Amino acid sequence: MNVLKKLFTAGSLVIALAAPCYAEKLVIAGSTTVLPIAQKAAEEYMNANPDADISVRGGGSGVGIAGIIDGTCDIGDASRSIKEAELDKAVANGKQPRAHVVAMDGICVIVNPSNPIDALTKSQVKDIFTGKISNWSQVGGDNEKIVVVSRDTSSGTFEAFGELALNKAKVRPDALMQASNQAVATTIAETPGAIGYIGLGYLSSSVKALDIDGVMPSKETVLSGRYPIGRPLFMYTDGNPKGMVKDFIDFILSKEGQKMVEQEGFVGLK
Amino acid sequence: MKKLLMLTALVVFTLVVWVSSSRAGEIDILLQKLVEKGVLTPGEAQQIGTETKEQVKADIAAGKFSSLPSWVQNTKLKGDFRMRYQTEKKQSDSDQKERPRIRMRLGMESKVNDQTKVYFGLASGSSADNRSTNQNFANSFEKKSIWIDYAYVSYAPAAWAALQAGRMANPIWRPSDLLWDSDINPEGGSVALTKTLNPSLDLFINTAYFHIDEDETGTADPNMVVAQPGFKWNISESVSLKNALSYYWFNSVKNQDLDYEKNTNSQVGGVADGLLLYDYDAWVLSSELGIAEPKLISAWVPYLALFGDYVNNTDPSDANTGWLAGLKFGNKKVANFGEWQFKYQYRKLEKDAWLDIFPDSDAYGGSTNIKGHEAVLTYGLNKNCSLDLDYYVTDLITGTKNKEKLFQADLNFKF
Repeated sequence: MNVLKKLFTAGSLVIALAAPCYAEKLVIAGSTTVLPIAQKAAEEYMNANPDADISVRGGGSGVGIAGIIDGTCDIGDASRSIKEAELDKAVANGKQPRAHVVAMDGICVIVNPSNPIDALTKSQVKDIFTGKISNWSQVGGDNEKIVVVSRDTSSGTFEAFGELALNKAKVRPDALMQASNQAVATTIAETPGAIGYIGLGYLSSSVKALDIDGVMPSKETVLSGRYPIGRPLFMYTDGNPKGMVKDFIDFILSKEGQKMVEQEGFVGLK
Repeated sequence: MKKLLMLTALVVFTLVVWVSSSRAGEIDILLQKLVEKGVLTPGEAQQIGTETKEQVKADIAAGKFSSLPSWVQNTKLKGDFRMRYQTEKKQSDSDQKERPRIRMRLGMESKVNDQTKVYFGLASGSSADNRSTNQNFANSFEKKSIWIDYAYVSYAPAAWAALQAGRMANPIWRPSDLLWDSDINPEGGSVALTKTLNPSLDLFINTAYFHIDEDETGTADPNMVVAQPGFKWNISESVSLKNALSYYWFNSVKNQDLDYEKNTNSQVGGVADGLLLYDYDAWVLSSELGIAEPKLISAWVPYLALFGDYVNNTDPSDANTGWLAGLKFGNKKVANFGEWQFKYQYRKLEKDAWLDIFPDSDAYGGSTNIKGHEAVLTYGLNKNCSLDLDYYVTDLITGTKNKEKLFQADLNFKF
């Protein structure tokens, strides 16, 4: 029995010493919207697992899904569902893209708390941000010029708002472009006639969120899909995830991981 | 709890498959009920609902199940209809020619197995002209002809390789129509190979053998062989560059009288319609630089591209080059209401730079020995419906000047 114990101890030691030599490398690429979640999760995961080697890069949802199809990445980030043509390519290449919803993107349209407007339709939001409506009186408010505040063009929130609220139309050229959600909220809080948008996680009492198409933005309305300016965010894998890929996705979906998702301004699933 | 979630996901998956996508709304109601009963949290319901729909999509693509017969699952139809009003007038003409015309195309793609697909397409056309699918309104409402536009097989043994044979969509990459009219579907075989070096750089090589004609009196059938190596480099997230250098070997073309010639290439003995004097072995350099969200103007212009082609025929020593340079900006593709694109290009194609059976038929009828401008505005009228306004001003390079102005207003409907 003693011999068995010694053998077991020696075997465990060999495995423990050898483990770092077999440290897995994880490559993540894709959507710039999902990028902050992937980066923060990778950072936290590597802190907890010093042997893990995770490389994270953007490139857009198409790049992430193409990475799964051609096998150049382990996890493909996407802020949209996989397209039929991409699925056909994947099948032809012997791949089985598997979607994992890791968070929800919910974007609030905000105004200064002194603004009497409480609700807009999605169509009115589009007309305001593209310049077709330029005075609050055109949507039942005071006779005051509308000041449009937007995120800068490199932000994932700008991209998401353009797709979900503006149907890919362009924000009016004279919009005030801000580098962060916080900067948008501050500008709105200081400018009575302003309107802007921020991730749900950045909403505070210094600004007023508007009801859109009869639905107020909240974690519950975004998760249920009733709030119209929201969408799921995906991580795609080839087939069911295994090993470190599974471990990493499980980490993002854990209570701790979802807390981190909310800290990045997205809507967590827990 | 995890077992309960897995069981719920399994039940939902089975229901989604069973009731088909048209009943997906009922699945959402079921999930909502489970949330109301406290069985699921809203986040879990969202996760199960979305992931299940994605999985069903993937399984249908993989052909795992469907209520439809397999031949329907494996077949896709596509087509388009174009209503065109065209006016054209050469300087020497006394009247302007006005031509209402239509184009109709219907195409089918059918999957034979995971690696093999067959493509088949029909198109309208006033004649069998290789460069036109237009059908003019003429001859007391006579019925119009339908032609075989393409019919070919494509075999892709791996994601990086595709072999095609038949009368096929042109496998050679062309950023412009300087050399190839977009209606031409060449006949022969092709091999296309791609290699992704890294996420930013793709290498490719397109090769093809095209059989141009059958010499019924001998074995010297006119044909061509093409090799086109190139690369696509995503310089940054918004800037990409695609370049290719092609070489065309033409065989048994010299001393031939080919169908659909414009007789603008040099002819043996200088006659108006005779045998071709030269070979047309040619180098072609093609390039396109695309910029998404260009700085300073991104609020108005979501996409901008510069493109061009240069050709040099190595056989004659004179009048043997051609080039086209262009700029386009607006939406990269026009598929929805309000989307737009403007394109301008200038072309110069010398007499013996290229065989005159291939170039854009709207630029001076598809002749060589021409130079001129083209401007196109495309505007999205609705989903898959667009209006194209295309204006050409083209003239001869040598000989008596005879400028041609051609205008086309097209209503396009894709389905």
